[in-house]
Amino acid sequence: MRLKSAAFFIFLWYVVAFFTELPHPHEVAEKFFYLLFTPEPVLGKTLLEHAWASLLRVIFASSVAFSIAIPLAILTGWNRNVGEILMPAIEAIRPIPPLAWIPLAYIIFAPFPNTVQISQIFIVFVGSFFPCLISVFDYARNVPEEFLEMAKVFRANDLLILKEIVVPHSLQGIMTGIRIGLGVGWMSIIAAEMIATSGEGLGYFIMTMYQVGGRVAEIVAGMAMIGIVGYLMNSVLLRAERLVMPWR
Amino acid sequence: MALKVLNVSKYYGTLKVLDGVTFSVDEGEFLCIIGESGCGKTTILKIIAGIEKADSGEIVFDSGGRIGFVFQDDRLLPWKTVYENVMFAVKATGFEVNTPAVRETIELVGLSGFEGYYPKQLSGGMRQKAGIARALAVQPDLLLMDEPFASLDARTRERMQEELLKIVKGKTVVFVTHSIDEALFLADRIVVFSPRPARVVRTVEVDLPKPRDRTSQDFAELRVELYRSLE
Repeated sequence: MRLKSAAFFIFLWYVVAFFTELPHPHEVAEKFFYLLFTPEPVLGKTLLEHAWASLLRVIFASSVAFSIAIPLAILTGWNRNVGEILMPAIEAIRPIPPLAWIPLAYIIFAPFPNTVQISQIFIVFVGSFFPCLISVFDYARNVPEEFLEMAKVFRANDLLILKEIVVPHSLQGIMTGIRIGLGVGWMSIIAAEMIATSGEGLGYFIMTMYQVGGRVAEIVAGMAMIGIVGYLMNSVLLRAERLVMPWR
Repeated sequence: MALKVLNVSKYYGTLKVLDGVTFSVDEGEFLCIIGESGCGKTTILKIIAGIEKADSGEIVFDSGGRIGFVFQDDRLLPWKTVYENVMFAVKATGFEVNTPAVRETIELVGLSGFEGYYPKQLSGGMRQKAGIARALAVQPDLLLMDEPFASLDARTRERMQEELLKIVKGKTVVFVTHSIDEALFLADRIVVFSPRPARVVRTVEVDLPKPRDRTSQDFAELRVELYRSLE
């Protein structure tokens, strides 16, 4: 099934390439595998190095986002009073796209020597924070009443209920939140890298290849790399879900 | 006397579910409450367990008031193994975590070898046994059981009843059911509730020796008598 789907995709690509500026799949594939390990002369880095640079930024920024979003979501989901204060504000900020934060981020982080890097991290943070928060919140808020009643019958205190019922019940939300958060973070970093000079990174690579004269095979090779990394992140995390939740 | 329920009434909004319910449970007695579905049997258990408040009346524990509760749906935590589910109740009650005692309780209900299984991997009967183990692990003064076998098939249900009598021998039990046969097989005494709002219509002593023969003449006569009182 996957093979058929890939063959169909490549066929379609040839058809479109025939009529447009789009490079043919074999040209892109050739460039892609060449650049994978051979540094591209303008920036002096391989595709793998660019991908790695972007990935590190995403992992760092997302980890910070998750370590705030997960506890916050569990607290707001479990405790209705906290939830009532925080959730409307969060719902209002959430629809603002991460990229809209870029100018503000530059101003806020201007006093620091590495404004661009910090701003990029911040953009990814915004991108991965909210999907994770919402996903965990949904689970933490909807702990089955029957389990809470059972805990009450046996006189469980709040800490035990939190540790052994609310958190494990929210684990599916945590895993989904991490998966989706990383996905949005990945898209955000590419966009953030396109806007400002960052020396390395897939977004920066693609933008540079465009600016030095529309090197279209390189551009599409970079896009392919973005897709491949995103796909791999997603499937690794899907697999991890089964390991983390063996009872399902 | 282990427990007295004195003139307990309860409303849900304007709906009266319990209307001056009064009965008592002796130390070591197996008491069954029978009545129609939705008559308030579960409500009285919840009031005794302290998770719902009566609007009037009183619950008096003469000995300790520690409760073990077995639910109709097993209410095992799906992310915990049998052992961990039992341990949850032990920790909740504030007991020292005592591994041998927990294993012993699991063995008592006949789940040795299944300690590491998740609820999803167990049959309905085994899940209820795990629920019983959880309730017993807190060393309850009073064991409350809310139609624990209602969702099991007929044969499993009868087998569970037989095993239950062995497991809870000598313990004080209040067991809610809507099955006359189940009550007759298990109970030392049966309290019959009226349809909503529940009152105690009558109390029937079951003097037949245990284990009881479901096909005996005495059993059949008591069954007829109970059917009449439920009409």
